[in-house]
Amino acid sequence: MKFSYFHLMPWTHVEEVGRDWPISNRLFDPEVATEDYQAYIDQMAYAEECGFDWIGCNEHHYSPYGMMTNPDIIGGALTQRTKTAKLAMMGALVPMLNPVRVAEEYAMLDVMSGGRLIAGLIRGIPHEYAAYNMAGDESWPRFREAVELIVKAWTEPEPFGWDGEFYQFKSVSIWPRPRQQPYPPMLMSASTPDSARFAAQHRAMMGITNFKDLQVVKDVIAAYKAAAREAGWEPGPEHILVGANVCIADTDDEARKWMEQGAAYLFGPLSGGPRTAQKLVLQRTRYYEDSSIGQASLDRRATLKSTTIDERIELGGVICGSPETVVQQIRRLYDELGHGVMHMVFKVGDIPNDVVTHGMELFKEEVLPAVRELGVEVEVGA
Amino acid sequence: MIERGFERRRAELPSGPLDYYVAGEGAPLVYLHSAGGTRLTEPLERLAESHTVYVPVVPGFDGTERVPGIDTVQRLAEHIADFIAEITSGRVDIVGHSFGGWTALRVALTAPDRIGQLVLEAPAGLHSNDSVPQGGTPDEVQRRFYAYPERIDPNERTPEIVEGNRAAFAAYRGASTDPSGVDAELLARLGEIEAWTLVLLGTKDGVVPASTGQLLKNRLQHAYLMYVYDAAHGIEIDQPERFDRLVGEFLRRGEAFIINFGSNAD
Repeated sequence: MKFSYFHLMPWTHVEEVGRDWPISNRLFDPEVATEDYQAYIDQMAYAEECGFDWIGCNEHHYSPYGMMTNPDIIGGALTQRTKTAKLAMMGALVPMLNPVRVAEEYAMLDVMSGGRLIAGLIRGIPHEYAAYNMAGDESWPRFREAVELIVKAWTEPEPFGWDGEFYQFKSVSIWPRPRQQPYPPMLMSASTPDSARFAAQHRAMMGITNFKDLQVVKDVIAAYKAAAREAGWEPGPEHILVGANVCIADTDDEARKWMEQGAAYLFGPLSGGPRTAQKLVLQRTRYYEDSSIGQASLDRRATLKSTTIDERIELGGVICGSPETVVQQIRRLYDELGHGVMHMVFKVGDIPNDVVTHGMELFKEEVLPAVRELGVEVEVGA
Repeated sequence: MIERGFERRRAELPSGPLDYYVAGEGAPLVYLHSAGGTRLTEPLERLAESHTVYVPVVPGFDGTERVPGIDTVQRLAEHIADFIAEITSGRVDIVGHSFGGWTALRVALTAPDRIGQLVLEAPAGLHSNDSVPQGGTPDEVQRRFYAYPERIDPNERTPEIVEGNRAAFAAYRGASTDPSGVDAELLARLGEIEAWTLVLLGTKDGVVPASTGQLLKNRLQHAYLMYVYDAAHGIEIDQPERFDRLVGEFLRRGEAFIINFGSNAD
């Protein structure tokens, strides 16, 4: 099994931010944030030393939930701080961006890293659409078109133009082009069977995090595999990423204490404002083309907020405990799901950085040796 | 067939007769139809608002007689060049779809002094048979041609005309290509063409592969390659507004087609 160290880069210096959205940036202290960025990048670089196979970046806007407005900037820093880990951009919020720019920046990262990019092409959390004044109704059609354009930009050997519903370019010829051929492995979110099918049709890896329960994950994996077979290929475990919030400490009690604190902060100050905008986007637009999925998404988030840590461990979205306990939890998830990439968030809410780092060391020394053999070791290719 | 204001005429040329449709006023433009036969589409009607549009009916298509001696794509190109010489004046832009795009390239080699700009809509003749899917269900075959097949009138041609067009194309093609389906002589001479050329390919085209566009971009002296999203082989049918805009801009601006003129657009 491969392990991905994913970071949200949260801003953890506020106790209460209210429920309005966006969050006022008068609460942001740039001098403190300079130190935060350094500490977070140090953690991400350290993940390679701790045996993580991937280091994951992401994109969020206008709130303390995450300070990575462009994952590629952090990805660029990581190309200089790491040697072997895959750099997983999870990722550019494609429908809100210039697809050619996405193709260019990803190609830069692939070349700068010596071919270590995992190219996440993501639709984004619904509230981001309010941030960039994008119509939620256009999310899926823009995503479909942009993905095709990005692949063209990576693969066309001659300058070309593109005339589409949303994107028009008379002449495209990206420099650099990607180092991995024909293009870097793609990763797409598969939170619903529809999105899982889309990922499979494009031979992308699928990823699912923040799920309601393991049955949801099993359903999307089944949809993904079926669509892949229909498209003429057979996914392996290495194509399936499943995410969890993680706390590893010396004892179960200590880990649970930190996870309860971190999760309360994550679902409290870090999420209140975004949740307000998210509800508006989901209820008023066709962010999901099937409107019932939008309501299910809101219900799921409400459920997650109200469940206990033990319940979340049982549901599969949290890994928490001593190294021995965590090994059992990872094995159980693998036995249930058969995934090949475990995506782990150690900096959950305001869990202190020294607790995070200690958890990473425990992972390296005591967890990884016991779970590395899970799944099939296959190098992911595009 | 819907004639959209086009008038049908016949030209008696040194190389033989040629039926054609004509409409509009303005700079001359010759439209060369695909192997499916003549279709006077909405984009052609709109081109006739700014051009005199000539649409020859290739001998053997749509119920017309084959012309003795006009038996290869090269001989057909010479026949079209005769038409341009006899019927039009000044430089003529050519828009060709599929088989018509193939023919247009050969016209550009045959009469370079009379050719203005070329628009090649999914041009045939340059890809090998094994580079695109063959066979399949009727629905699969139709989807290679049209992303929106419901926009085609299923009764626009009788079965006899459809079969006649198929036979005519097979004859021209068979006499003009190597066993792989490629017009190798044309391929070798692409670099001689000086005309500014716009190559249009649909992102869902299942008849002509993207490699044809890449090849033309690479070999022609002056070419732009545009992919039209959510269009298959029949771009005029699948995305008529985009076809209008792209062809209109290219014919007006030529080399400056790639420049965004913003609010100064003509």
